[in-house]
Amino acid sequence: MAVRPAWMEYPKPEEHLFNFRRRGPEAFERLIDADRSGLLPYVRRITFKVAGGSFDPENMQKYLPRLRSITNLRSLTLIFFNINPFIPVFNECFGMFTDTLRHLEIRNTWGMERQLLYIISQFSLLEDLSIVFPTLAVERSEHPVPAITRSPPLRGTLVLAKAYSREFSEGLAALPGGLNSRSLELFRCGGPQFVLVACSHSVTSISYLWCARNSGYGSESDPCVRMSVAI
Amino acid sequence: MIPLDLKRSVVLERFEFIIELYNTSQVDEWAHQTLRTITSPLFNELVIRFVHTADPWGPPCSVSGGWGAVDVSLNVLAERNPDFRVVFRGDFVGNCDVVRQHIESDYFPLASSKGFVTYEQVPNVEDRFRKLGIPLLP
Repeated sequence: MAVRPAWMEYPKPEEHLFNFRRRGPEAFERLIDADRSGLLPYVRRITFKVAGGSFDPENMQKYLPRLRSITNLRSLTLIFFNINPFIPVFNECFGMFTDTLRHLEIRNTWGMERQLLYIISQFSLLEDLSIVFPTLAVERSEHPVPAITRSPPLRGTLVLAKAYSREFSEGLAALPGGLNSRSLELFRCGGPQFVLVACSHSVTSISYLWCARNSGYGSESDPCVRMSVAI
Repeated sequence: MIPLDLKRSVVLERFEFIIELYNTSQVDEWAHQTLRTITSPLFNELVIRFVHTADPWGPPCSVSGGWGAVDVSLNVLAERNPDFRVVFRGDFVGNCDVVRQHIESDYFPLASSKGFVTYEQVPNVEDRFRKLGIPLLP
């Protein structure tokens, strides 16, 4: 039987049996501790953040052996996510999450629109999707993107914030399974009509930020690599 | 700015539009045109959320005065659905009563007289946007 490490907090009533949150370098140590204690299957939420650089497969290497033991991840947040290098190694890096993930949030990402659509399409049970401030281009990608033949149900909340690319909205609406979101949050979103039409059979709530012009681009200056893990 | 076309949204229950003050040129016309496209029989809540209401007179005084058409649209929606209500939500900087007075007398007199307009004063309404990486104007 797994022994509860001393650093582990007691669970709040509404949360899971085990609950701990640590950020920064400590998170990796906690991940190792959790592995030793056999708790990795209980990890529900992970956030990767690389400020002052990009989150790419190289950053992920040291985490991978432990991440493969996380078999019940529900929520994944990727910040400063460089999509292109992940395309050829997607299954190696994220394949263990594709059949369990329900909530995906990608912030400050850059790459090609089709690459991002491909990443989204691989999570077969995804319900909630949040795309915040992607920097996307439509040019030919460095790594060829496999054909998108399936897509997740996407029946929860769809957030597009500062997602100016009209082509991305159009591509999202054209996913093989369509969009089935019940709640839309569109804050400075390009091509909102594509998303609205695609969700017209399912959407019950829309939040829309009306704006006539775009504000400046936000940035973060924290240079450290962070990972937070919650069980 | 092209109004949203919500004609096809057949199960739409709630629509919230968020207005940044200082950014309100033509917003009344946009709102009017968008509301006219709502056809869902289930639609019962319109939320108008103001952010950055630094003007002590509150949001209605900072926006242009063309809300009469919206007022009419609200009544059309209310006649269609008896449960319909309008919620004004914002950080009214302590002048909620003044805001209410202006909304009721100057901007939405028709809707206000029917009694389906409500107000919610929400402090720190901008936090959500900051978390989403949307820096609103100071």
